Amino acid sequence: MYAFTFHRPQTVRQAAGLLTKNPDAKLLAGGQTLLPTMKLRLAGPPQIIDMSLIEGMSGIELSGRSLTIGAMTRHNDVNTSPVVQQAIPVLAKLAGMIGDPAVRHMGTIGGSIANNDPNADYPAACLGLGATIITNKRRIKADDFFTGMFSTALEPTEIITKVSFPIPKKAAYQKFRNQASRFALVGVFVSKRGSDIRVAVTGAGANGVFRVPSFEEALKKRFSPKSLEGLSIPADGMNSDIHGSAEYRAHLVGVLARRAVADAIGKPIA
Amino acid sequence: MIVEGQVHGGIAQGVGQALCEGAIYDKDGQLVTGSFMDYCMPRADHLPALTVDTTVTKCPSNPLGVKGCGEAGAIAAPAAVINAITDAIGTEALAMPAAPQTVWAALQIADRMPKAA
Repeated sequence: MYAFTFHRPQTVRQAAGLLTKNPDAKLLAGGQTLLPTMKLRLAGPPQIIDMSLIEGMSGIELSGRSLTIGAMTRHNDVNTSPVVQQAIPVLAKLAGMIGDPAVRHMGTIGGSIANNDPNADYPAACLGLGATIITNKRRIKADDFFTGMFSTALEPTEIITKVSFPIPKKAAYQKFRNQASRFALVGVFVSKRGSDIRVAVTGAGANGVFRVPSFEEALKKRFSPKSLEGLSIPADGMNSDIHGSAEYRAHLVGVLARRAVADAIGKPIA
Repeated sequence: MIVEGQVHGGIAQGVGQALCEGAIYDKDGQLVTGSFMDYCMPRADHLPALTVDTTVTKCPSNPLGVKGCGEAGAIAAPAAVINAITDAIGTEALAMPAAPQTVWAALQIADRMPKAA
């Protein structure tokens, strides 16, 4: 790592102030992407603003029809929370599939979505459930939040404080792992809430997480894997690397969407 | 116990070679699989529980009558795994490592090949 100045603000306002004064500074949440990047010297921010001492940034709250999770809440806490397991069980399962135990005890939901890694799981959950991302400045709908690979609608001094998930009637997530990194080669999140149907895909798109309107239309008629039979998405715009060609990823989107819908209706495909 | 451990390790490496390991260079000679995030090492969950059985033939050329046996698992495993896959799919066109994408491509070929009478 290159040398840096380490700040430990006590409030979100102090953190935002530090970001304003130091445009080269990076926020530190769980550090599961930032620190390895710095160790490889692929990044060398001169200032690090650690958020771990800021009160009120972690926690899980259920109220009425939504589940709100503080931005600094660790993946392990989402995975093991009885509140999440009861309200949105797929979210608890998804958090438990991120990385490995060491990563899960440090990584945070806020960090994951602010980073918007095209292979990350949480962006698919946020887009797949129609979450609202709450920052120190405003509320941003998931549909407007993820703007491209590693990029979001966040302004330079904006800090995510909470993420709020509407509670779905049915939801599931299927993750096909890259054998080496265990990241999602392709991950498909589906949900149904009244007539609102969402199909969100991570891992496959060259531009990051995306929805599949053709699948959503088909599922509106009937929320069943049969509705997706014969449907596929084109390979253009898909990521391509040694682990999966664009054609393979496009193929997997269809397979995983059918499996996810089957899981969501309680009839998993063996 | 040492023999069992050697065989387990050899099988793990052989399964790794068959299913996921591969060093890949791009056309400019850059190593693309430069870390374990891209180079897939076999892990515990790549393997089932293993039962090892042995027949004992003492080696006549040393006082202990022993030989190293790590290679036994490593040589047999890739052949067994790849033969199983080609038998299941019905095509010989399968390169190692038989990663998911490779198996899928082989399935496409198999579906296009005329079935034997």
